[in-house]
Amino acid sequence: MLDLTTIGPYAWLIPALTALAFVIATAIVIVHGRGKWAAVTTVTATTISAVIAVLLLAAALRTGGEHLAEDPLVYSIRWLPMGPNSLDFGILLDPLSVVAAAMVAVVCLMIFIYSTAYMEGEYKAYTDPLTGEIDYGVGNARYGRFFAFVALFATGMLGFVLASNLLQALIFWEIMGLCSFLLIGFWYYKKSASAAAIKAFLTTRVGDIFFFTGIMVLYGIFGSVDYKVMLSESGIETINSLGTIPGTGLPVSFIIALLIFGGAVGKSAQFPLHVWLPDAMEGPTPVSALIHAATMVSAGVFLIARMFPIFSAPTINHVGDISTVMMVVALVGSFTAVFAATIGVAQFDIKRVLAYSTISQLGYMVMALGIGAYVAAVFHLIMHAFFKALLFLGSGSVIHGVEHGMHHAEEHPDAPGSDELKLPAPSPDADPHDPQDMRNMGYLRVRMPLTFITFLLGTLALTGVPLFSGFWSKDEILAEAFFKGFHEAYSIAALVWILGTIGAFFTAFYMARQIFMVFTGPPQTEGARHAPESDMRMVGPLLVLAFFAVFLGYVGVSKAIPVIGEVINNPFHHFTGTLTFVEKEFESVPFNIAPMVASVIMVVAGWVLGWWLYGRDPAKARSRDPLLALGPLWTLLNRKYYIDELYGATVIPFVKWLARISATADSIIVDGLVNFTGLFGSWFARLSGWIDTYIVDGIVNLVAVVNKELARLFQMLQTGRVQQYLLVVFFALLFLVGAYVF
Amino acid sequence: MTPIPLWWYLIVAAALFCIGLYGTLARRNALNVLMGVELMLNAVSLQTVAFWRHTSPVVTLDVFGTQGQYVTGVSGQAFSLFIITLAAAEAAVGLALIIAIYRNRGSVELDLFDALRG
Repeated sequence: MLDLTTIGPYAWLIPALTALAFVIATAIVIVHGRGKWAAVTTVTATTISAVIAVLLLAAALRTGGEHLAEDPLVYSIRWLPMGPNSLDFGILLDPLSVVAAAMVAVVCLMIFIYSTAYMEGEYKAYTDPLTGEIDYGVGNARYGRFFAFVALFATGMLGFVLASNLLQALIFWEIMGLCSFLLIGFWYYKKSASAAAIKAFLTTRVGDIFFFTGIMVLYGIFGSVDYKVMLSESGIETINSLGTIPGTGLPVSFIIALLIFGGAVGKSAQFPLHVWLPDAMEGPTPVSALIHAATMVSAGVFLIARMFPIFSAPTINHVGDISTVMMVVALVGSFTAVFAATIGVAQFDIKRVLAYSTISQLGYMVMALGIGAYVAAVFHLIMHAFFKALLFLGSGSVIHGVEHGMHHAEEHPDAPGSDELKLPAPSPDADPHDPQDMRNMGYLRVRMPLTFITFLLGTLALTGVPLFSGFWSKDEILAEAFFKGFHEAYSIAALVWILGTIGAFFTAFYMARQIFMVFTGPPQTEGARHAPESDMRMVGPLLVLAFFAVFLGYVGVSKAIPVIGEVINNPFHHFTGTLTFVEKEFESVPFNIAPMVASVIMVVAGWVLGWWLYGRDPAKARSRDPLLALGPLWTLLNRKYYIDELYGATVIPFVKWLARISATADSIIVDGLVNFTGLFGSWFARLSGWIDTYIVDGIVNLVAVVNKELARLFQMLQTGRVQQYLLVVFFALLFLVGAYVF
Repeated sequence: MTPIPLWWYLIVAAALFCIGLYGTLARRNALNVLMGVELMLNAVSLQTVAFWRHTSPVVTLDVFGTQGQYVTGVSGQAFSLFIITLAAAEAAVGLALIIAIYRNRGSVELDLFDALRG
């Protein structure tokens, strides 16, 4: 009954249903402006999609990962026949795509359900940015539009993970880019939001150029963009047989993989293209959750995982070995992991901290792929999606609560709270009306207990506290890095291990800082004091995601770990441990207590330091951050290493200068040509007009004038007097007779 | 017996034609014009017969015992008869027209009628 060949042919419904929801929701918004029905449509369609995706995963688990990787199911239709080949549109069912699709669909569903409550503010009190009036009609339509957009976003990610070829993947990849633009700029009347939307779109665009170039190179080699052709053993052999790039000694696969990695760097916000992701916080919080967890940034990591055979083409026979390009990947990933984590330490916006945390965690995944820890990377991708979605939705719940509390405090300034709390002095640097600033919070442990518990569970998972899901996934990465670095003597893996372990410390520290600043101690503002617990539609998804964040990690516990590993037997590794098409199996690394102990020490150290600085007196920490003592280093971290300023001083002026040069060239050369053509045309037209007026018309008019004058002449004969006619007849007769006679 | 010479006839016919032409061209009253036309027709009729009498071959015939000279053929008389018939018809049509015009316009002065002027 639950057989993959039975369900497989219907897998296309997963993205198709959300796409249909997008169409219907758009139609509803356009025709009726009924936001609620658009939300119902999207949630219903996503529910069905999620059910299909989970059934698909269950069926695939029955089939078995190795079997499925050797013999993946491809259902495709011919889209664009081109000579002997064709571009297809299809669904590829292999362990990677099935796992990712199930994760995406479930997380998206949770986020959508949450959004139905979170976005309600949009139509309950949508304030016209121009007039300041509350407009229910527009708000209602905007509420619906949000759900149309997120449905398209889900379509983009689901279509991307299930795609059977690279071009189709690119199409869905770009749909996601579009949706991120639309949703980050959802509150487009805020200048910062529209700027962030443009920044996200343009920054990821830089990566997309590399990705597209990579696709073209692959198409040039294979005459096809099908994964089946490129990633099969013969496909990899073809790439390896191309030899090396002249002058460098690097294999051709190096440049292809680097181009594809460029796309992933843009999409997954790796250094140096990470700048768009923190600004993407300008969108509504569910959008942040969507971008950071289920869709968008995961796509970049997924792309590397999908194209992994190409990354490891030179060492394909010992899959898991580190090729040259993978060293680049590992370097970028590990650098990003630590770099972003340190920035996260010095941010005050609750969502911004999480944003840098996402960049850092994506760095972990990328570096894991870079050292050939494929299974660990995919495992961390899935785990991260759940707990990061939880954290973002939790932060949304906090923001929502604090915002309501602020409104409540403004409307009833004299109303006594249910408590007899004395508010501490507000933080001098914080805007007291910013519901996202952690310095305005505190006390929410009491006000929002369910949000607090779920947020805490998500934090424990993220920081890699033992027994939570993030612990199993992050430690698998670190264990593999340690093994490769110190047993197989890859120095890059050793570096990855060191940076990853340091990153674990920062992760624990900034999350502890966040927990203590947001939830503990007395309320810093009236908003935090009056913050209500969120609606069940918001807390419900938090509870579901919290369940996953705590327990899902056990599917991937390494077999090598004593006792527990043997019992669980690592089903995740068994399922995804074989590369599709090339049929190479990853070995799990032997157990070593050292990296685990090291990372646990780091995590505990991070938490303890976080507690020591922020947990002992949260109110004081909120009004004056203890890290301010770091002086210039603090400023450097707080200003994000001045990367934005650096780009603002270098890349952006350069591009602007280039644009100006182009504009000048355009106005002089291109416009000149166009204007010359125009002038020539107008001159020629004048000449032609002159000929027409004076020669052609002249002839015509001459005929008319001659006729007219003759007519005037003959008109004189036509007197209407019958006797005159007779006279003429008489003389004419005389004349004729005379002429005849003489 | 000497016949009346041809030119006598011709002079009379020409005079008659000229009188008729004058009447046709110069008179204002439509009735007078019609009369002029009749005169011209009669002039033509007269000269037709005159020419027939003087130009057709003459034969000597014995008719009931009396010898006499006779002009052959009847073409002159035939033409004359046709002309008379035509004149009658013409007069009928012409008078009918004049009556119709009179009824319509209350006058038969030809100077007043130039509706076909170009």
